[in-house]
Amino acid sequence: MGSLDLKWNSSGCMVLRKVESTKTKGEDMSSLCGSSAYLYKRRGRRIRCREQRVNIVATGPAIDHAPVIAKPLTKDDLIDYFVSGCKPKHNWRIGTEHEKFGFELKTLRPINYKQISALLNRIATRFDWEKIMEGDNIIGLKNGKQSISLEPGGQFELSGMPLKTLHQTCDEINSHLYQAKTVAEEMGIGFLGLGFQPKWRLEDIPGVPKVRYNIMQNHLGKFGSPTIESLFMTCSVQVNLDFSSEADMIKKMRASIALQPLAAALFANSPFKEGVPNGYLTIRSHRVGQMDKSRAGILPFVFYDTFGFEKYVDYALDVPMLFVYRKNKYIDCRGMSFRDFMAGKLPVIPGQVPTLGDWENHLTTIFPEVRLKRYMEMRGADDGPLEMLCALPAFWVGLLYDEVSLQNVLDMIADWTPEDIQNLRNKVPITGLTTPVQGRLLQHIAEDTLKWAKDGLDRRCLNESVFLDPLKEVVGTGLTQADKLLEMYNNKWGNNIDPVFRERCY
Amino acid sequence: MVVFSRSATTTTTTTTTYTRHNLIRQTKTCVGNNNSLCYSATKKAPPQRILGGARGSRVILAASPPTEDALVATDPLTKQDLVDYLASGCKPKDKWRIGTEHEKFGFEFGTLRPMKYDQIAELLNGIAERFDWDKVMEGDKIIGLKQGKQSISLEPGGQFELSGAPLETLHQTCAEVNLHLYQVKAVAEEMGIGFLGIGFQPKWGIKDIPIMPKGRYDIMRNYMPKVGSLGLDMMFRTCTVQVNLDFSSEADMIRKFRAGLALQPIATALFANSPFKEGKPNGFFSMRSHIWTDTDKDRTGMLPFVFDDSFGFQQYVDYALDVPMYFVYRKHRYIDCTGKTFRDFLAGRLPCIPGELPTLNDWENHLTTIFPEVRLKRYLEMRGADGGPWRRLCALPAFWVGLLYDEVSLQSVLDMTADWTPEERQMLRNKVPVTGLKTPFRDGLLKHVAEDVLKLAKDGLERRGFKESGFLNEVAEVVRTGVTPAERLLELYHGKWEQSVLVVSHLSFI
Repeated sequence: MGSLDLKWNSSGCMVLRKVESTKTKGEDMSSLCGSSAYLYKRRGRRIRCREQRVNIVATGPAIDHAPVIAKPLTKDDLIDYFVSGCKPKHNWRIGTEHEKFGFELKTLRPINYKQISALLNRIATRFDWEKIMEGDNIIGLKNGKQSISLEPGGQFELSGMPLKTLHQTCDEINSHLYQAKTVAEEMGIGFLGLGFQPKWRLEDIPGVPKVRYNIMQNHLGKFGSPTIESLFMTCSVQVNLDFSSEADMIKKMRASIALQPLAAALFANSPFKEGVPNGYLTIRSHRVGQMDKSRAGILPFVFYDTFGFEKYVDYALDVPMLFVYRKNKYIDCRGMSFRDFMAGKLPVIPGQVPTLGDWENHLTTIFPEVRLKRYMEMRGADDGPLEMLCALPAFWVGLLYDEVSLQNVLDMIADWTPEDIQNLRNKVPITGLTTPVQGRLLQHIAEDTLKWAKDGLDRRCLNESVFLDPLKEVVGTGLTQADKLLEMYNNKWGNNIDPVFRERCY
Repeated sequence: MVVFSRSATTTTTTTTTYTRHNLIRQTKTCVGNNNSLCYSATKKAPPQRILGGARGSRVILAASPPTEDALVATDPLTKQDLVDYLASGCKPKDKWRIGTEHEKFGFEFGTLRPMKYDQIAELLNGIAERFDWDKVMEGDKIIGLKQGKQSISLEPGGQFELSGAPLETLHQTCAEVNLHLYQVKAVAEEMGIGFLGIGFQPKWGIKDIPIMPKGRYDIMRNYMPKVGSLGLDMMFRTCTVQVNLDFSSEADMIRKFRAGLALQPIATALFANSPFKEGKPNGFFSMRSHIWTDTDKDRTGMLPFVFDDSFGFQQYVDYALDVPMYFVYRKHRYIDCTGKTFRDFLAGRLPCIPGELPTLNDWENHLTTIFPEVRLKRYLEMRGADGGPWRRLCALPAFWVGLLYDEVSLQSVLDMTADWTPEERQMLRNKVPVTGLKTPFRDGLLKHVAEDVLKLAKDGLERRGFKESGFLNEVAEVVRTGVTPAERLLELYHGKWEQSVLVVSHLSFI
């Protein structure tokens, strides 16, 4: 079976075309990213992006180094890791991830690990997924390039595979929800599509037995409850997108960081906490914004003229480490930086220096609004209903995968300062689309942006702009999911939170 | 692929060799007529005298272009070859699979009119492009799609059909239906098209229904009125859900065939879902089922001979040989051969193609034009149920898998029906479309038999150990209340819908 490839035809539209499957192992990237590019090699074999991506995206067990590196990593190796993500436009893909809260249908309580374990085992048996174990504990599933994993508060996450079209993406989410629901229904379990736990307190939420989460909790706890709540009580949807070059990466980082607050506003879906309105439209966004500032935020340096792969590496090198994974064990490294590790100065493993696997692991413990790996992760949106899970990748693909729309965004934000963006970031969780920015309301900026997203999708010629319809409604009415839920809470539900579980159950 | 000589002498020798081979290797004894063989794979695939791969005939299930012979057979087909074709379907229990097919009516949202071919072509092309299906063409017209072992095809009136892959569990089957409906819906919605899960077109007359441009349907359309009054209704206005199931031996086939035929009227009652015609109640719970009683008696029915002691693969072949043919497919053309039998073809006596003899592919094609309540190919097809909403599409395979894939339940069914006479079976067949579960039977109602049967199905599923019995919930509700889906629709029609056919919102998959 040949595979589909995206090509530009003579009229400038991207078309799906069948091509013969290539027998080449991996992709030859030396010609793609300029003469300075080279790939990290391990025993002469290239690391293939898709293989690596699955591991990283899945938040599965950390990568343990199998071979011993002949030479210590250099900073250039770290930079080249990012450079290796560059790929030509026709190889750009869409990878969507979403999380959801599991709850008992009868009691509405969060599901505990025992229930999650049973759920994972049944999905594995019925729909032929491979189990991912950590010792005796099942912590996830894998099926080809898709994976299911658990977040610290038992949030059940699908990390989708890299796909070519939004139709395929939405198809994948639908299939996953079908499988999860089929098994969950028998167990009296439902899944909730909201950005923040609406009813239960932190102490009511059972943890999951993943060692790295224990370390994270111990370390991040000192930064206050927002950080812990971000880990245990939030659910988001994110899309992972590619870039063709460092210059392209820079443009996309700037556009997406600047507009991440807009995405937060459009997808705002977390107005409740402990059974009552919390004063926010998206408390998830607010809580994430209050996290450990050394590893979260809008990254002002991205907007400096000097920004590139190297600057992101410099930033990541100084983010405090959480752990190192050795011999199937997580070693707590809190307080030290990866820069220390590069110099062999980690007290917990004296004299040891990092592998590229350690670098990959470290990058997953950094939580900016847009995260850079060998692709970019758009992290600013609350979880929501199926149509919103499909709308998020549509929004970002329309804006970032089309040069005209991307340039329009860059022109619009050209005179936004990092302070403007930070201010927007701080206010959006409360005032949403009514937030003022540079003399305009965010809602009006949303109108322009949504048009560019639609135009960007239309120029892909895959009939994908239908996935933006839910956002058109939000922009047209000015009412987010959160606004609608608050209205129901105040009226139909008579100030009782319990109906939200039925209203937002997948 | 091993091709064996078909000369009489060599065939006999080969037959003997096969018998020894299979008797030695089979875990079960092959019981049956001397003239039939069972092939079971233990260490290598059994030899097959079929051109094409295993389940290649599924293309035919899809009503895709008939298989055309790529190779010319070196010797004329014998009757034994036809028998062996069916026998080659035998497989060990661990290889038994579940293949589900369902049809649905497409309609325009605004006007509720049936989809035209142009719309269907656009829909097929949209699905192919977005979800990576291969197109199946007839000349320059798209008539279906394929993806792996799944296929999408068109029935004469534009009924949109999914023929599912052979799957191991009902969970996989239901997931497959769900995914298919999602994909169809994603494309159809943009075109302003919805799909209706019902057994008979509730609103429109035959003249309102566009005809699909498939060669074989032209021949069928001309022939049908000659042999029955309802053939065109069958072609253009019915939708079915069916499940295809395997057998391990001729003896197993016989048992399943008998159980399937006897209980087919119960399935019809449980899934009855076609009470409307041209905007009004039609007096039936399953008009679809009724239609088959006057379509073409030569190729439909309850096959009384299946219950004869002499029944086996050969008897089914004898039956099929005398069913009048519709067409032969040669050089991308359908040749009208109505009025003649396959037996004539075996003797080279088809006036439409004088002197030509059939290939095994012709036999495969011919078998697809026979429409009994249970059809035999290299598996059995349970054909007695109306199309319906999604959960009921999952319930039908659950019902039959529970009964036929578990020895205990199967034996219980055979015991229960052992003393049913052919007249009683036919009476059920005739009455069920009208009175459903309220059909009187012996000292009680059919509902009481259904209660027992449903329990057997549930127990059978539980013994499979896959936690599949939840799929029977839809049917359990019907049995418990004695109210078929059709009766629920009638109640809505007379009440809430104020005698207008608003089934669209009620039964649409959208």
